Amino acid sequence: MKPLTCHHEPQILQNARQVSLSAGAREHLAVCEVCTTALQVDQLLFADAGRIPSLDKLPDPALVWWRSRQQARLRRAERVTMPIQIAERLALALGALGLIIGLSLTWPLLGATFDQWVAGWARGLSQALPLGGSSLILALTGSLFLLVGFGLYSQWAER
Amino acid sequence: MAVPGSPGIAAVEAQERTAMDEAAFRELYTRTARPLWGYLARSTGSDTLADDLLQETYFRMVRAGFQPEGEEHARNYLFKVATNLVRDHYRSPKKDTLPLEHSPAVEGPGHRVRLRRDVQRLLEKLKPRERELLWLGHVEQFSHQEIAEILGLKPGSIRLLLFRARRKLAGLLTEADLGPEIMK
Repeated sequence: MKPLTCHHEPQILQNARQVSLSAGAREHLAVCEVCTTALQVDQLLFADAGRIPSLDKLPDPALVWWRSRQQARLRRAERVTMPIQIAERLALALGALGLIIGLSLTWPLLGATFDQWVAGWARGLSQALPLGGSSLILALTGSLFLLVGFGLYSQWAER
Repeated sequence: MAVPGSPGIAAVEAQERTAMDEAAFRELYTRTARPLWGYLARSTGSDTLADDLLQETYFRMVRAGFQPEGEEHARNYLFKVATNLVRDHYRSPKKDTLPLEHSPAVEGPGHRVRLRRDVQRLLEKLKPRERELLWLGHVEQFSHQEIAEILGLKPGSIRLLLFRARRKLAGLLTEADLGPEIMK
């Protein structure tokens, strides 16, 4: 089995990085595959590392600092207000649940009142405007579309 | 009154007071940004992406309120965060790596640019983890223990992984007939 490392390797790499290789190191390299491979790779990567741009060509530290602080503040604000947001969502969910339960309990009474109200409203409208049943449905549908459109527009504008 | 489960204003203010100030940040950035950028650029193969990930690494450090307990601690922490960001980038479906030819940081005499491209092409043939291992081991000269911590690997496996990655890169160098040429 081939060895994975050689105990001469750190010394040889260190020498090659700082000064030229000694005669002894060269002799060792001629017979040691591990050190030869390590040196070959080391020199390639070191040469490549020498081409890393200088600090002034990297992102400005002042800008990185400022943006980091902004992000940190935002994150902290989110953490602080998280219980409030959770409470708001919980209240909304409980409200919706309460509404559904209330509506289902009072539906017989509400349904009858609603039917009366719709019938009266439709009668009054048909007397005031000479429209047929289909025109009424068309007008209601149009209004509904307008409302949905307005809702979508408000959401888009907010975003 | 503090809301249960929230850090509370006093805790946030305390964290603000103990967090790193701008002078300390600048000092740390000056010491660590170049090696970190080099690691990111060679790991991702894109200088532009390296710029973005470099900034994100420091954003995360400041956001976390990191307090370095010495040079090594800071270096290990930053390289670990950078490694996680590179992993996240490879995992995300939207990857925006630029080919090296369009990269703004590649400047200089023609042969240096060609050499840089040759090196980049060779590194691209390695797996991301192999590139990370080689860069951390050879250029940054981290110990096997530190490499294991940064890459989230077992310390005992580093020796073998590093050996394999080296052998693969050396093989690619020989194949591309770049061995002696590239070292001039």
